[in-house]
Amino acid sequence: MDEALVKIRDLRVSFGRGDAKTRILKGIDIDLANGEILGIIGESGSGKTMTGLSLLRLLPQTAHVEAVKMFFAGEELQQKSGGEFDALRGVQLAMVFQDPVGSFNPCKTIGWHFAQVLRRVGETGELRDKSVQLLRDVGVKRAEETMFLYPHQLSGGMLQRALIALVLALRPKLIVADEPTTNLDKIVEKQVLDLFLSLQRRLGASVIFVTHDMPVAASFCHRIAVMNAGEIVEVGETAQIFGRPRHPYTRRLIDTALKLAGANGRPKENQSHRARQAARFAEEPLYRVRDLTISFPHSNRHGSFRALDGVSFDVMPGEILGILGESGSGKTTLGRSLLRLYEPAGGRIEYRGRDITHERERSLRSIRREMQMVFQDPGGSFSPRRTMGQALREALAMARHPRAELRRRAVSLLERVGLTAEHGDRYAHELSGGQLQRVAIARAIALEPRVIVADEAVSKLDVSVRAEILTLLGDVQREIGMAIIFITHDLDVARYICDRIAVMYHGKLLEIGHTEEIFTRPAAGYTQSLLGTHQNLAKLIGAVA
Amino acid sequence: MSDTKVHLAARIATADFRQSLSRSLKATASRLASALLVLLVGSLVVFLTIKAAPGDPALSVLGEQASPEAIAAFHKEHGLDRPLAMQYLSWLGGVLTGDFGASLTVAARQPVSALLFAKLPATLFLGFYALFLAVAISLLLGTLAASQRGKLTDTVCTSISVFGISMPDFWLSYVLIYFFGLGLGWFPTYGYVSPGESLVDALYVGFLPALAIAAPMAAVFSRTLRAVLIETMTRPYVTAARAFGLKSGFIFLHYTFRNALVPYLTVIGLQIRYILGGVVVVERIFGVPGVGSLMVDGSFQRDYPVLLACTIVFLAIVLLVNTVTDSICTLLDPRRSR
Amino acid sequence: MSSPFRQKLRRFFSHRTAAVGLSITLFVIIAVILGPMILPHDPEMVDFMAVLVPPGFAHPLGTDSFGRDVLSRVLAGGRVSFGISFAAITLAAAAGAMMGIAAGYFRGWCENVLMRIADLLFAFPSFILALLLMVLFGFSTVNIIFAIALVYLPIFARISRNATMLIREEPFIQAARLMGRSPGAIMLTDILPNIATPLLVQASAGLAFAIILEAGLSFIGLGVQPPTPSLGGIMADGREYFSRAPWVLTMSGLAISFALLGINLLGDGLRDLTDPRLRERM
Repeated sequence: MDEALVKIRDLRVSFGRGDAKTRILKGIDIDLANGEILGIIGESGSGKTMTGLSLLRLLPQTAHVEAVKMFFAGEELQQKSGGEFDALRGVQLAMVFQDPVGSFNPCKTIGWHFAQVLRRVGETGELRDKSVQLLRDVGVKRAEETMFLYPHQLSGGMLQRALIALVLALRPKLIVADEPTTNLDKIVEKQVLDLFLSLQRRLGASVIFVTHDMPVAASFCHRIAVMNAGEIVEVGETAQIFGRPRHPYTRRLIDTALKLAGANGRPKENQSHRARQAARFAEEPLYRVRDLTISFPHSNRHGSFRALDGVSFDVMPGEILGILGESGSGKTTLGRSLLRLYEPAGGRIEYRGRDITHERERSLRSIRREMQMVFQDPGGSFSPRRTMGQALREALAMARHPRAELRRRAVSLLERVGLTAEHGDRYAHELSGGQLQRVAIARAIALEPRVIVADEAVSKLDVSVRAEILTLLGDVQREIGMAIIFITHDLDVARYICDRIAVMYHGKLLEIGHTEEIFTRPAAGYTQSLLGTHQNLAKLIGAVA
Repeated sequence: MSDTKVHLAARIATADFRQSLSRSLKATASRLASALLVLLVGSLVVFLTIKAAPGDPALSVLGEQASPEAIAAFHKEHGLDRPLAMQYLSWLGGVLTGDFGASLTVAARQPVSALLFAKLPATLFLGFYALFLAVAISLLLGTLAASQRGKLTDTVCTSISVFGISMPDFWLSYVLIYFFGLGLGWFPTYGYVSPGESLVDALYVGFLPALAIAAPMAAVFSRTLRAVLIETMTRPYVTAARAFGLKSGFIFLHYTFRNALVPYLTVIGLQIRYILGGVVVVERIFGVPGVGSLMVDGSFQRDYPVLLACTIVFLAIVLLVNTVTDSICTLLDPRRSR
Repeated sequence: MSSPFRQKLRRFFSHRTAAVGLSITLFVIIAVILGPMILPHDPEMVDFMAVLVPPGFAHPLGTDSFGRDVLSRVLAGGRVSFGISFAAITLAAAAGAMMGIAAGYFRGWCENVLMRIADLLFAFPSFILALLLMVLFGFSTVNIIFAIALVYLPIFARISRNATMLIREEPFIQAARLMGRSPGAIMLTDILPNIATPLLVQASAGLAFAIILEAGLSFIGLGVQPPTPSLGGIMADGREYFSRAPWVLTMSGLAISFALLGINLLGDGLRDLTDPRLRERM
């Protein structure tokens, strides 16, 4: 790590001109030594992705890029013509993208991609043997067969491995990795990150690692640059950034992450909580689910796919039950079937002692009001053509509140979730994700439900607002006393808010128990390996012993 | 060692190809079957609609003053006195043996199948000639416009397309006749030469009518191609290919164009129903003896067997072309041939 | 607070294609509505003293073989053509949207039945279907409207169904279901406004096609019947004496192309502004 490989001074990127000009990067500086891994962390919209794209000249033509200095390996990149830059890109500078599935040409086999890239770096002769070797190097087991498969026939993790193998073939000096594991499951993410690290060591390449995931950044990067609103607010050694953040924004970001990671102790561990929990089990369960099976028809083939397979459990009134699982585990399907948005193929769902397994849609309508949902996508939760106030009044009207009181009650709901009356006149696109999620909670409680299914309700939010929304949800729950089914893939979030946790895997419920028991003494092998991959930020940076 | 590896790879490749071919053949077969079903239901619906229409064909053929006896005789002769189901079944049975019944018009009284047989080649020739021209023109204009996006070439190509869809085919026919036929004298403005006689002459004589049918379609196709190409250019795999440093011409051909092909072909399949509409009018203007002219003549004379047969033939052509484009799309898109 | 509608309106007028298209379309609409009232000549008034007069001061577009003023006839014919096409597309859009939304929302057998009907209609060549219906049920204006509407119905049904399927699983629709709202209310107030944009874009494209279709039918004599003027009818007349008086065919042809150009530009503009796939990122 002696000389600088990359030296950027005052990089500015903007789109549009005149009044319509939006500035994405507002003058950032980057220094990167040979063999160094620089993490760029920041929230969505901070411009972290644009930094990598502008370095590789991959921004759309409408983007306007300027910099005082943009040195790569001692050469000024800005002076290079299109042709000269093309010669550099791919060979010296490479990029790994967030979406491995989208990075491959869907009409061509994996082998075709390898042939093109190997030809690009001047390889000749038996390209197939070389490609197979590369695939083996990244841990693809049936490499020969994989060569003849199309991208849609491989999993995301497999494609990301193949993409890394392609970058390996290029032997670049600099790799820009843009959230390379964000779309992958936790267990696969760990494997791919290890692979990426060994690749970096082998090539001695420098890496710009763009991520929003702080545990990943903390365990992976030598130095960290924190971005906010198009500016780098702080750069430093990883230990310094996480241990002694200087900038208030960095501090807020890390404090929130630490709070979720349990650095301030775990609220679900204390005795009074345990006692309350025990009292609930004396009551009649809110839901009694037995052997529930849900299947969906295959879109292309005949037959059907079992999204849920013989799931049995109870939901107690007033508890927060976490449903933990990775994508495709059936956790979302489970949440929606409790609201009878799907028709079960087998088993039984009892709601307050009433069998609703095959209840008709018409008679469901009267009890649906007691079951509400908070969705993952805050933007999609509201009709784009209606104001927040209209949405809330509509919900209140459905709950049979007198017409004259609707407006007043809507405002008091907004105030309850920490907003003001003026937010009621706004449309969905005029509010931030966090604000929308507050209104979504307000709409759910407007109907005075007995149960709320929160489906990944904070996953799309930035880390800094996640804790606020979770706190609000917890407060509202204590106040009103409804049960919450909290669906999530995030271990920290689940441990932070849930009373009990059910672990889902491939449509089956593996185990269910009190949160701390699941986290400290997992019974199922899958839960153990899931917890094994978990990078606890608090432990990583030594905030707790 | 290396030998077995190559052998294995080759085996997988052949197996894969065979599999995808058999899959796409199977898909084509099931598509053909459903097309036949649509054709059957379609013929029933058209048949019943014709029967439900007000007015007695006997009156329009024999005249309003025809005696009741003459009308009854006419009904008996054409089987119109039997129950509807019987009429349909006997019509269907006839069609399966190549008999579409007899034309109602007293003067003609010819079997409809003979008329169709005589007229169909001209329509098919003109239709496919127009389709070919439309595809060729649109490939040129659409690709040019998309690759030169935002530049003068794009504006020119896009403008040509907008003017193209603003010219109804019958109006364009006269513009073409006036400029290229009467004005410049490059092309004949009337008549038809069968491609069986002389392919060159057929292409030459048929050029103006084919162009008149093709132009609006070419405009629609090239607008589609441009839009699809531009959309494909924003796909992440194109950015990924650029990040690998692949040549831009190569990326355009193998990434952008290759992936735009399937949506483009799908639109062509959907637009065939408009092309055939153009055939009807343009055939009349240029004096091409095709099914379109036959149908218009039949319309004026309310010759129901002819109308029925022509409608079914046009329906069959649309279904056939749709099946073919669908099958090509399945072959081209590995994601579809699971 | 600016509503999304007002923002869209502002963007619309700063889009050149859309603005030009709207101007031409409005000009054409005003011309065909006001024209016949203002112009001195009755479009159906025969004047054998002024047969086939070339364009000049008294008759800006000349006269036809009956001495009728071509400009008056083009405008009156335009009014008929525009009216028929507009009515047909409105009818097709309304019925098609109803079918499509119901199919996309309820799925199951409802979708199967409705979409098979649409598929069958869609398989017929458009002109052939319209022609057949005209011949069978007579050449009245109402029948032309129904025939054209039936031709375009499947397109609107397909678009609405696909759009409905896309937003059907959206959280805000699920939220409405969970509130206990009835399917009818959900379809009308939650789905329809949110799929209106693609329908509107399709309607403007459909309007142009409907005008062409109507003109084509009238051109071969199987549409609007004389003496009612229609663009296709005027052009068919003009073809008869094209060599002696080319202005009748030429002027009416140019008129129809001008109107179509306006509608198509308007449709393009609408599509550019509303289709997120074609809009440039940022």
